[in-house]
Amino acid sequence: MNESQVRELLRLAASDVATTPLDGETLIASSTRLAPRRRAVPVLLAAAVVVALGAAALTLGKVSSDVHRQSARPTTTVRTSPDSGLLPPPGTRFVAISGLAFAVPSKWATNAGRCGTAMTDTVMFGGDVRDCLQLPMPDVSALHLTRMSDSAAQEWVRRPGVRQRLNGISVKRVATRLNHALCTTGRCDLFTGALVVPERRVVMWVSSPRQTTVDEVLGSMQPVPAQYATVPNLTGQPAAKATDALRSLGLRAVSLPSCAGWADSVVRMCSDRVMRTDPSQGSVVHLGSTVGLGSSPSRFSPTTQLLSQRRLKLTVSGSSSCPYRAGSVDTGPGNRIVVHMSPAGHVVCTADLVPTSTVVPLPESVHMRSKVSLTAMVSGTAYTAVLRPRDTGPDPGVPGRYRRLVHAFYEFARAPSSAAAEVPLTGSSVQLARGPVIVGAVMRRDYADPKAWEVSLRWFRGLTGKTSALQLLASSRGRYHISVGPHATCVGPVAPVARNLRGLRRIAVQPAHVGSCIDWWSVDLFIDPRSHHVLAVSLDLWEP
Amino acid sequence: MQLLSDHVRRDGTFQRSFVVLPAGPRKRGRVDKDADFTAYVAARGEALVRSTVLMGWSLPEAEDQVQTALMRCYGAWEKVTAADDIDAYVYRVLLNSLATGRRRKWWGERATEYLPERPGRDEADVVAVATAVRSALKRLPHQSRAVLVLRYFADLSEQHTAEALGLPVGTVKSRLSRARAELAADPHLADLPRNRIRP
Repeated sequence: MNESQVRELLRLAASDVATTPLDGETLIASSTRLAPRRRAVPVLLAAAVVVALGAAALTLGKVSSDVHRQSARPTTTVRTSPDSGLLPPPGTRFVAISGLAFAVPSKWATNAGRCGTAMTDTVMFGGDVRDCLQLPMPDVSALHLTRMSDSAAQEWVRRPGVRQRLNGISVKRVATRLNHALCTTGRCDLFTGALVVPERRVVMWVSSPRQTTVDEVLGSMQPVPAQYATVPNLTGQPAAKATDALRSLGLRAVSLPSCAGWADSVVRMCSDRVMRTDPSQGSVVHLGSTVGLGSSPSRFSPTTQLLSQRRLKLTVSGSSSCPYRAGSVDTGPGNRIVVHMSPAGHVVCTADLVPTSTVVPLPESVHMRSKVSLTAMVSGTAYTAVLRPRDTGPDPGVPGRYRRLVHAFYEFARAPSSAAAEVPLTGSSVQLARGPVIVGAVMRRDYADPKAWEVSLRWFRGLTGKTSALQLLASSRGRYHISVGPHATCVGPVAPVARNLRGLRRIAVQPAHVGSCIDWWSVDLFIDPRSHHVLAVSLDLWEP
Repeated sequence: MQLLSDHVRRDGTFQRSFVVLPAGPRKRGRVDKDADFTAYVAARGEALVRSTVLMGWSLPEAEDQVQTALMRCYGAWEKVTAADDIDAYVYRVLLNSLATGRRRKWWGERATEYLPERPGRDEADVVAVATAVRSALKRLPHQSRAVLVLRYFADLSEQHTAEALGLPVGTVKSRLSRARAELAADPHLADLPRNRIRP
């Protein structure tokens, strides 16, 4: 390959990169904001050395083991109540995971984040975030409490740190200081610190613009005493099961009236399952305390009425083949809420024109069987979208002619033969496409040969080996869903088609039931609108 | 000082034009420095992002890394402008930033290249070619990929490519030759329609 060919290839590859122009003035402003702190680092280091020397001189006469214990002592003073329980320091509350409690400021919310990113000062549980959107980094503090198995925790587990004992618990302490060029607020530096506790299989980390906050929160870690319990995550569980779970922990359950007053999240849901607890997940409460379970079997928040009053239209968009439906609500000229439900156990809610995007973990059962109401705040006004499970009957929007054609093609796929091919395949050849790329063609004389329909995947969607539209269609056992026109992938934007197929009528056949999008596929028949010949067959698969 | 500025038109072709930075003594005022820097970012920002994508980074990561590198360059803009070749200097900073950037995925969120509601664009051929080329580039060793992108996409001379990468010129030449041979034998590119590669 000569130089000009390489240049041409690189130019073609780069032309597909949709960059946005960079703004030099913004970069200058960001750089200028950082400069004073950079200059301050040597001064702070010098001050730290002086303080450390002073402290060392003061403690010189003490026993070395005492010195060691002092250095590991938490910076937050924890008081003990008369009944040997624990009391949080003034202005703080305890949150816990796996029996380890941390004192955080009382005003910190719980799970006030979008897409794994804290939006206000908050405590965030779980770190297994998928299908996320990129968000600007706000200037807030957050304590993340995660299991070691969570994807977000892996970074801290791998990173080297200092092993120490903190309140009798063996931990690995990791600390970093980060700068984020995309920050939109005044401060672009974030201090972070993490504790990895192998014996409890948990990882906790704090990010904050203030180093003292990181030290105080992490330093407050201590075991939850025997007289206390931690409110578990009961979201999505039936009320009876949640009540039993609380009882087994030595707590009592009461029902909360409705979800109408629930205002601690951008996206809210009302269903026949527990959607919130009071106090919130992770709170440390005395044994015998009462925990409220918030659920709403049939009542919707007043925002539904608001939606109706404004004559806003709820439309269904997105993939028509998955058991997850996406809804969109028009909230005014040029403004729109789009709600996506992903198979990864999250609801992603995005709104145009306003920087609103939220990921809310949902149990699979809510996805699959229940009606879900989502409310999003747009410019201070709440809007609700109602998502319903997809009905699995035939789509009434598909003309009978195409339904019959698809059925004939399915029968041919199930048992390929020249006779069976005569009904659906009336042309002299059929082009084969793998996603947006034409990869070959089948001539009429080869219609009955299943091998002629095989397509090499060659890392298409991360897969290898061979498959064919006939194999996929036959695997549906007749339970498929038909749609006409462009369609999305299982969870994703509308898939492009090969250029020379654009003018053809596109009939998509997809499995009616998929447990997750890994099982999803689509066989699209491209039909000449005049002759009604099937001119091409494409297949698409969901990337595992 | 003249800079080549690349812009991609809607049809995917490039428009290349010159941007003239004001010449003058090295010690200039803050206003001049900011104007120089802004002009450079406007002229070269997108090309830097594209180069980073070709080196195997996703678009959001590439934009992040390029911004970080440019901010570092701004802090030492006098050194940058005093360099023999500004592009080579900036690419060197960018490559250092990329090397450290691999270790910065601390935050739980994963940046996605496309928003879910983004309307689909039917550009099958462009997508197919771009995907094949990027796949082929990913199969190359990291250093060969960087050499290829700097030399043939960023249009740095062999001398300046060597400076940006901290390598001898002879090594750059041999890596270029080897990388071209590997691209020629790559199965991803073998599938491309022949008319997409200019003879």
